[in-house]
Amino acid sequence: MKEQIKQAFEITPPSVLGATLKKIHKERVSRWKKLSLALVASNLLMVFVFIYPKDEYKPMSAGIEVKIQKDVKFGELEKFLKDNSLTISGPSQSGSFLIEGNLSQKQLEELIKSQRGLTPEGL
Amino acid sequence: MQEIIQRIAKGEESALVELINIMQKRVFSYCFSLVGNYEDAEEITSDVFFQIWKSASNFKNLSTPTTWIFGIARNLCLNHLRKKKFHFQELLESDAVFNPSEEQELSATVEEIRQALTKLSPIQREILYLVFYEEMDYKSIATLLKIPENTVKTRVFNAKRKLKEILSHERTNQASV
Repeated sequence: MKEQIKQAFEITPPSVLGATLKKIHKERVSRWKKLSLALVASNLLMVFVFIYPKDEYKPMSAGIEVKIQKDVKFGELEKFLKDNSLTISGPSQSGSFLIEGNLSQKQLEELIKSQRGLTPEGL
Repeated sequence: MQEIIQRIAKGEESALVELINIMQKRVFSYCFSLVGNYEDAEEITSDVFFQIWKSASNFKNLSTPTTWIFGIARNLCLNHLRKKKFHFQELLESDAVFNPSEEQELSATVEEIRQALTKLSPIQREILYLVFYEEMDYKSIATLLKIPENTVKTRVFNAKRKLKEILSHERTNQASV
């Protein structure tokens, strides 16, 4: 009887080799797809974080040359420069000063125009 | 076999092919004994080897490679049966108490037994498969099924009794026709 039960469980198995290998290759492809997607996403993120803001906050490159009027109060000018994190250097041979700061050219122009006693040159 | 699994863990596809050639008949027969359907057993068998490929590095020498492989097969089969809303609890609760004195010799043809096996529950078919086909001892079966040895004995007894009942019922039916 033992032998008969054993024989009753005898069954011709199908070949699962092809199906298994197919699953393995499918998983590899899917892993590569996921990896590629992650790479693309991280690249896009880097473009957004590093490249896009760079245009937005482009620092001043050349600075603005100004003439300082004779009646200017140096205490006031010093405070103005300090408050706006600007630096001043000069005078040059023509008697003008160069004001620089980590602002866009346009912002710097507006700021200097607003300060009494400074005359921007070439604007 | 242990060496083959180690090679699979290193990513050797040829080792997996080797293992499939050695084990596919046994794994398929085991899955078939549990799910009772050829196509489902085929799909699960392929999943078993795929799972082995993915988790070969997790194989520890705590169990034999065969027990480990059958463990994977069993989990996949039980998941499959759960999806089909098969209720294990009802079966386990209906288990009668093991009584060796009740054991009687059966006599039937292979084909009769094969037919009767399809009428058993997956758990009953599984235990008979492990005892009669795999010829595993009760201790190994207990390890695989994660149950006490005495429960294994009870399940074997119940499965044999149920098989005998089905066979005698079939005979009575045939005689009346």
